Amino acid sequence: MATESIQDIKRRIKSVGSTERITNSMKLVSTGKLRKARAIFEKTNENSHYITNTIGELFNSSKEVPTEYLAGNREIKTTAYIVVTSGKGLCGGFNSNVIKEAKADIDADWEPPVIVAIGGKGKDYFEKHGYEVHSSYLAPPENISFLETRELAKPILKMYDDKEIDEVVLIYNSFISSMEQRVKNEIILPFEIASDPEMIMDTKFVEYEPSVKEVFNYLVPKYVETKIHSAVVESATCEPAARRMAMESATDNAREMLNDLNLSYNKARQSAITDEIIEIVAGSEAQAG
Amino acid sequence: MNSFKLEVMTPSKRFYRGDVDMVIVTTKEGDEGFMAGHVWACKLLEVGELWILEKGAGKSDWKVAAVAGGFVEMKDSMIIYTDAVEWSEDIDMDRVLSEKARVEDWLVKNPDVDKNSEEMQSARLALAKAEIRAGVARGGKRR
Repeated sequence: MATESIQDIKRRIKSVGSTERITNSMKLVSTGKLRKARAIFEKTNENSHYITNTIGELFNSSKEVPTEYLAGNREIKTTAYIVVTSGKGLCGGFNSNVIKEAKADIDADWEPPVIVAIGGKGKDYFEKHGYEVHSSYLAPPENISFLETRELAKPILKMYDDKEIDEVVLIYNSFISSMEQRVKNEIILPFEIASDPEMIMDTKFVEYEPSVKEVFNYLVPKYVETKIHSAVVESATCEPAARRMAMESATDNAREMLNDLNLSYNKARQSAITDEIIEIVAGSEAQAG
Repeated sequence: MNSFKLEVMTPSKRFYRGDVDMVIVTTKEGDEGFMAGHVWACKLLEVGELWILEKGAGKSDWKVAAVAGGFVEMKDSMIIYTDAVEWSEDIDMDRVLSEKARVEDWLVKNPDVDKNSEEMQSARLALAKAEIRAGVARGGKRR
């Protein structure tokens, strides 16, 4: 490697070394954030599980359920996509996986879709590629409160009620383990709850107050809000996990690169020394001769 | 007295879980007490007070909390879902009063806002919440 001077190699070692330090500390920060996010995620998950179960039971135990939220009651033309990404990059395939999935779905639709972007990355992508983004939420998702998700869900529910959209799809990263995240594509409206004939109906009389319809009209938005909220929280848990993995491999790569560079640095240094010795020897031999 | 299990859930956490003798909540149709063996029910809650008599507690040792609406599901055990709930001792009275003053101020300054508008409804809701929280912080209406 005589082409690269010792100076150049030294400079590269320095820059790769500082990159390694940055990625390594980002990895550590992500590990801490992941722990925190995971605790919140586990609690939220439990809650959304309860709500979903209750709705399912309601469907099964009552015949008076309003049908406008059930699948198969209207033709699905316009779909709303809620795309949950992060606001920051440097987290491997975290955002691009979600965007890829969403884009494939959106391009397969006939009607122009309604895109709701949670997280700056998704919004930037769709705006840049000429899609119309209906609304967006850009604050860091790890701090989203339930009230904020409600504000987000309100216009979506209104559009559904007004029949401007016929389907609501949620696309986000789901948390499987700290090493694995998978993109999840979930239809949250209309419900795909099949009445379970196995379940014994009306075993006990259930009192609904003020009325089945009102209880239901309360639960449906609650369900949508809970779903969106838990998806955002889940995605916020995946983000540091994905970033930790990305930063870990970046650190490994940087270290490997440093090793190679050190080797070529030593080689270059050695060959410079050898060259000098040859010159000195040649010089002294010429004098002796 | 027979006891039953009560769980109070909010979107972000489980607020309470335990065996209780009796629970009183404010439903849309008025205050209602729940005891073990209550008929199965699904009821919507008003912004109101939540009274819990824990298993084995003395007759007047009620735990009181302010609830921002929600719904209850009574089966063999009882679950209360709500967006926000606070024990009476955790309520920050200064904040409640300033919130209340702010809403009242807004109502005075905007007397001609449509009664059914979203703004007006949310103002009324905020006022109701502040009033309930202030009441609960003072110990609730049953004390």
